[in-house]
Amino acid sequence: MITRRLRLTLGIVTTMALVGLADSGTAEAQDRSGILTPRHREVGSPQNFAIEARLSLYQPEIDSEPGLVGKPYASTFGDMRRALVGFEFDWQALRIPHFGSIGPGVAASYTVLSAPTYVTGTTTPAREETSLEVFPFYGVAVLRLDLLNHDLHIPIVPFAKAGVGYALWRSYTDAGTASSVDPVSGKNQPAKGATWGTHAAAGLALDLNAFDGTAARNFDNSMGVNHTYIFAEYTWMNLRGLGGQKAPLYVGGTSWTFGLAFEF
Amino acid sequence: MPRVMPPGRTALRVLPVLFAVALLAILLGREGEAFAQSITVSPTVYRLNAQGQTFDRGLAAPNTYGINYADCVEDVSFRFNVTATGPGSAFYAFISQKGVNCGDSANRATQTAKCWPVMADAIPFKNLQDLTFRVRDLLSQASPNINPKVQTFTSGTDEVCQGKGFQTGRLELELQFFFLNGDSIAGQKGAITIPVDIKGPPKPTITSIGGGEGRLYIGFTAGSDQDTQGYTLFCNPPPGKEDPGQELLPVGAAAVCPGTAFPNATPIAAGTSQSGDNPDAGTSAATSEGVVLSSEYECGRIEGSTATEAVVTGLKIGYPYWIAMAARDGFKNNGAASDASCGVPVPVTDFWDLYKGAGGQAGGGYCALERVGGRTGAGALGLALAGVASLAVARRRRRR
Repeated sequence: MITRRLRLTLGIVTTMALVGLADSGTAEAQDRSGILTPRHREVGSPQNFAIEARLSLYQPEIDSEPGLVGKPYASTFGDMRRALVGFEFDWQALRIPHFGSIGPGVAASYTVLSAPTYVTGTTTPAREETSLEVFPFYGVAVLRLDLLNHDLHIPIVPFAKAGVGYALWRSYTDAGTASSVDPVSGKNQPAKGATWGTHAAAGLALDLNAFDGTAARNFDNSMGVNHTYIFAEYTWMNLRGLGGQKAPLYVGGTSWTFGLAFEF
Repeated sequence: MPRVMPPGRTALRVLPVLFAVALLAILLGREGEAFAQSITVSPTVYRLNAQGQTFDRGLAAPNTYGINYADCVEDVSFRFNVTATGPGSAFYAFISQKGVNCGDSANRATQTAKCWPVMADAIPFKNLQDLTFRVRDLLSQASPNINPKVQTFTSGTDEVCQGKGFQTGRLELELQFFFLNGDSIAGQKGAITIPVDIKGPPKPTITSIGGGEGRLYIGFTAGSDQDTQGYTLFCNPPPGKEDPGQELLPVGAAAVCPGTAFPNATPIAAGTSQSGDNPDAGTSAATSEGVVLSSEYECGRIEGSTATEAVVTGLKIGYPYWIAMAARDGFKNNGAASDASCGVPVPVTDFWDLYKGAGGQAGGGYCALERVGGRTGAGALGLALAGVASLAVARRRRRR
């Protein structure tokens, strides 16, 4: 469940993102007057984008689906978190001096979980494996508050993200995609589908430029990378269906995410 | 003062010179004849089945025209296109390991022979002709343990196919054609290399056999051999040929297979020590080198030599199967079969079974979502991403 505080945070971030996008034209107009600069020019080359390589400690909340009896996910895959790898691309559409940047971002990631099946009617593990693969995507508004880094020279950049999430998923065994028979229609239903939801995240990034300014300048001159960060992020993938989606598989979850980010 | 020689004495002096010139001319002429004799063999070889029809075994280069175990068992012949230039009335065909000069009479001698005739008689001379040799004849002569090492031709029997005396790896034989002048080779000989491998790699060992739904997982360790390029799996019964009267084993019961594992298995190198107490592949005809199983039992293949697990699919749940496997080499020879193991496919419960059993409602495919969610779907996300991209492009253009 999303707490009230989280809802408030999401609301603020989303509002800021929407306002930022809607007012980008105004911001540019102000830029001509010298109040705002659409591009960050503090470290050499222009800065408009960011890219992140991400590793999350993922555990889907499948067992929290309403009406589910027992814990089929935990019974099969256990409660150990699995690696979810992905990348994110952000467009830093708007820069607010002495505050930070805001803009849209998209991301894609992937994970597959595998475990032995059981001989039916027994607790004996069979040699055959059962797997669940999940491809989470999201589109978010990203706010990066780099005033600490730029103005106070504290190389920490807090950031927040909020938007829409979407995940494709499939359950399969060694024989291929699993399936079940619909008790009403009697038709075979493949064990695959997609789930919509919301996505939010908040975290801190450490600017590595602070540790080796010369290397940072060289990196910028040669590759156009203005800042390199390592970051830690707490992620809410609230993939439980959106807009009245019927019978979604709850493949979202909360997780810690770590990674490397580049602004360029 | 010049000396004048009488005419009679001049003739006496010239005569020996003329004689020498004539003798030289005769010798040179003979030498020319000898050099004119030559034989060439076309590199294109045809494989003929027992009915004399050409076919392709499907072996990959450089062994396309190599001899394998199946060629021997099926009594295949190889046809060579040979061109000879005369003069001469007949020439000979010998076989040896590659690199041995069969033109050297010592290599054709009875006690120290390294070359053996592959035809009973000399080959009548023709400028261009196709010569056909049975694979068994070629192998019989080249097999160090079977050939009695005499200079007379011995026709090969199916005994040679058991590979006695052959190693498991690739061997290169050379078929040589030449004219003989007494004991010496005359003219230029023709030769063609014939790769041979009629013995598959050593048998692997099945270390585990586990059941899945309609499938069996076979863990194994390979025999120590560089020749292995894959594995062949054998099932008795093969998938689809189950006995409908066979009683299915209850879930959780130990795998018990009925009868002899693989009847009609062919022993390798019969005549060596018997191993009736621990029969390979469940047959009492097994030898210390094992047995080769018939392709009628084949139920799967693995390519590559690094695998340690094989999967047989298409099996009947609860039905007991004998399983064995053999390593395969680049000549498509299956080596000796492993000891047979018994396995039973079992019904399994996977995550989706548990989820649905617990009352889970999801599933139905990616397209099912589009119907349920109306306009929300993958297309919507695509549109959103396209929108972001368009915004970015538009903004960049405005800046320019």
